[in-house]
Amino acid sequence: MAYLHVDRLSKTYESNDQPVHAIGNITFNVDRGEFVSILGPSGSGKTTLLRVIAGLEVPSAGAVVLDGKPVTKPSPQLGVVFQEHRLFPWLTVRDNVEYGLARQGISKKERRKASDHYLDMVGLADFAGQFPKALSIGMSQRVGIARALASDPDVLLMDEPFASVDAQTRRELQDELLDIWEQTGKTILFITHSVDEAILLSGRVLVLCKRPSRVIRTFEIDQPYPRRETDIAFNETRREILSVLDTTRPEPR
Amino acid sequence: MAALTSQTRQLGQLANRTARKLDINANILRWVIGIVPIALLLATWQLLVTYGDIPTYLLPPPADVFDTFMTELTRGNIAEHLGLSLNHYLMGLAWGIGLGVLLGLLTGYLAIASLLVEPVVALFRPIPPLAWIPFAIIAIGINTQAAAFIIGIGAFYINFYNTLSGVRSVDKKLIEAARTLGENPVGMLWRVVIPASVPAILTGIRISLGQGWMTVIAAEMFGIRGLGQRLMEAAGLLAMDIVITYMIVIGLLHLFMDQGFRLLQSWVLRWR
Repeated sequence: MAYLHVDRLSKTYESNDQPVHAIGNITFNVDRGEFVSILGPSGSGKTTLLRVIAGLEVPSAGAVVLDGKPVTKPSPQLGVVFQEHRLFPWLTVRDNVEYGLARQGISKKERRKASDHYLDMVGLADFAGQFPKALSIGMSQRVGIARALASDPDVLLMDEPFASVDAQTRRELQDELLDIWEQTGKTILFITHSVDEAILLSGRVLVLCKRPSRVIRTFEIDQPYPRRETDIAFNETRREILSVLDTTRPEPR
Repeated sequence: MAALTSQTRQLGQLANRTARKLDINANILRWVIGIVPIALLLATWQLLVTYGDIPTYLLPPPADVFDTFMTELTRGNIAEHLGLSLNHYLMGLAWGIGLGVLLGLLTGYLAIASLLVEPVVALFRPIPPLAWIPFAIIAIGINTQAAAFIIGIGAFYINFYNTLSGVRSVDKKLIEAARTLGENPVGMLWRVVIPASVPAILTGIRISLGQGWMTVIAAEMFGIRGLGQRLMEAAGLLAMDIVITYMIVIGLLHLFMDQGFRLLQSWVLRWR
């Protein structure tokens, strides 16, 4: 049995009295320590999928199973990094990072050790005492990652975490995330709409079609890290993925 | 509010520029400019007394009012009445703010509390606090408790509605983030909803500090001992100097309290 098992998941929700079939029927597995990207056009229910896996939304049918146990509500085993940093503005950077640990009743000394460790990992040790308003978007997103990691989750769920930062910062954050992945060996499920980002980061890319979404293709990417967009193999994979994405477009009239 | 802030900022920039030109401290300049209208007001007052042919029982000269102020101060009259009024004020605010914030939090956070509380509050809301004075006098008497009751009524509505709107506008995204970090419903109220609502709660408290002061004076005019009652007593004696003295005392006190609260507010909200 796979580590994270998404089993025949579907989700329909009501919007303005109209049922919206966000997720058609999605099944996939993620092994321990894998970095998997979910790639899809906007309106493919990527975010909804992540929210269901995180336990923030109840699926209409199907199930999410983590390490043999069904996921029905959010839990510290599933760390989430959102598209916006979602830091608590009234807490210092350190208190934000320690938030999850404090809820688990971890002692102050241990929390301190963990926040030092993860803030150091994202290069923000000097900002521990600051409030989030003092941080740039990129820095806030790093703190968001440190906060999710601090609880030592089994799986890190990331919902387009680098979509709102500039290109330069995005590259930095992508490299840092790969370092973190290497250091911690976490299982990472990463949502993105960027083909390049998916190839750059992941070992496997699942391509979704427009809603009601399904996985239309899976790409195994075995190029060694660090990957560069200018590599020939990178370009080859990009071409294949793009040709699959093209099939998700509506027929021209 | 935003327009007002931008106007204040523009005025601040104007003061800074002028100060640089004249090579003096901007704060001193602002202070000096602020004094000008007050000095003009005092001068007009003095001119009206000297040349206006107005009897002094209607408009005593500033110097007389200052003498009366000093007499009332040294005799302990101001301290005595001030003490009584502050007692009414603080007791009234304590229950009005306390109950208003508490019910506002519960009503905003729990659907069942909202169904129970909101219609009742909406029913009583249109009755102005001052309209409760006859009710309080008959039901409670002409005493401290009656004054505190009336003051608390006004504070209650302001704090209830401010807190309620604060709780209802808490960013749902932060609530979700807290859920993914393992927060429970009680902790959610305590560690997310309340901190996120603090700006709105403090605004409510600040408004009620002002309105409460107004209600204190009004309630005391019905005979409950304090600054308002001293004011009415002086009016009965046609002692305009005493009336103006106490008007100034009331104004200054609220000015200091409001400034003090503003400092507290900006310290508590230093994360913004």
